[in-house]
Amino acid sequence: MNCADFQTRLDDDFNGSRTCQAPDLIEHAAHCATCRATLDGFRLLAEGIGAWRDETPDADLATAVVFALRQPLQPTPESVTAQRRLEGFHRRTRRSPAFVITGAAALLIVATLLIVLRPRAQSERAVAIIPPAHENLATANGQRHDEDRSANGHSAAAVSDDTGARQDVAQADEPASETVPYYDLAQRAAGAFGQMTMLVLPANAAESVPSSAVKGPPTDRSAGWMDEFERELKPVGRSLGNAFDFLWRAGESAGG
Amino acid sequence: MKLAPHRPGIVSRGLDVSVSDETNLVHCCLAGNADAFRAFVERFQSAVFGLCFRMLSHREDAEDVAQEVFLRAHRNLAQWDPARPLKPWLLAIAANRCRTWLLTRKRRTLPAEFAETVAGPSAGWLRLDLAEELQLALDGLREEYRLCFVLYHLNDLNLAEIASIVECPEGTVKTWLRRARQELAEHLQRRSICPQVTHELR
Repeated sequence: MNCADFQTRLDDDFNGSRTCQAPDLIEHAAHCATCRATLDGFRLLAEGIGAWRDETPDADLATAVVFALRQPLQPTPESVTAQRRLEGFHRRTRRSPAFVITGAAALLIVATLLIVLRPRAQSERAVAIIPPAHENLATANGQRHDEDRSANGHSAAAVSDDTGARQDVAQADEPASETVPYYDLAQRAAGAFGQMTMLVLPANAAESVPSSAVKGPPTDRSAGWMDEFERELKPVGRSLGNAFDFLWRAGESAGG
Repeated sequence: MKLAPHRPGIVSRGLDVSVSDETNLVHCCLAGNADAFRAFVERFQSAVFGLCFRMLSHREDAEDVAQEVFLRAHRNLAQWDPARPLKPWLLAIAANRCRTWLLTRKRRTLPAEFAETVAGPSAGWLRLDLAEELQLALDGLREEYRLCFVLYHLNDLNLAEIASIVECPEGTVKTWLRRARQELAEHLQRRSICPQVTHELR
């Protein structure tokens, strides 16, 4: 038996209770100091394992465990995390109006960007045709009538009725839409926003729309809440158009 | 006929002999029989607590973890495969909980008093009992080595069962076990432990 065989035999035979008493192992250890030291170490370990097993304490867990089972389970960190995730999901799904507000904010940002980042050539042309701002802010009961005159004698009139449609009457070669360039856009955006709102709102939102919110005489079309909603949004669109118009003109006046 | 208690001093209450084998015991536990679950805990608490105590080297921690092991076992009893023995399944849960606990304990900053309790009296001049010295050496081993050593020498599992618990090949378990023994034997020799003297002291 060589030292490698000795190590293998020692490992295979060692089970913690028999203290390495095989005669061939003892014979080899008698001639090899290294293996003798290893054998002594394993004997010591075997004895230690015996004492170590005996000194392993016991515990009566049955009462505590059965008692704990009768109590409502304490939340583990994993269950708390899962619960929070679930609550967050419910909160997000409940917050569909938040999407509406976010959409409105996004729309406002886009409109602002459109005003700020307008094409330079157009603004230069528009500067030339801008009348004083106070003439263009006359809006009342849904009717709007703007009349702009350009510096070279050309003029444009813009008329919009309560349906929100805008009719530009070009009285010269300068297109009238350039005098209030974002009015139509704002109204269309408001309409799209209204449509988006209808898509986002839950199916039973019609029941939650208060009847007092509907203004104007009832018509055949007012049976659907979508029509009512659209009619509600049109003044909003007009207001937005006026606001953008005002901002645009104010910007032009400041620039000029 | 009553079910014989697993450990002396612990009395099983009012259980019929029909729940004496593991499968029936589990079925009774799943049916919500509190006495059956009490018997279940009594049968395995020694093995589970022993593993936890030797892995964590702290009695209160070991009790907490062992209790958690039984609660988790109760929650997942339906997933137990009756074709496999119950003890390795339970010890696998215990081993996982011990690993998690050790990881958590590593991240925590231990109070000085608690750290001393966990680490044990490691002062070089202090002559310890052979078992304490072995536990001290065991605490210094790699976690895998320690787990294999405890499962083999304390819980009397064979290599195949240990391999299924630690999810490694049997050869790996055998290697870990051999290295654990070698390191422990060297530690005991380095500490110049004389078995005869320690026995006299005891």
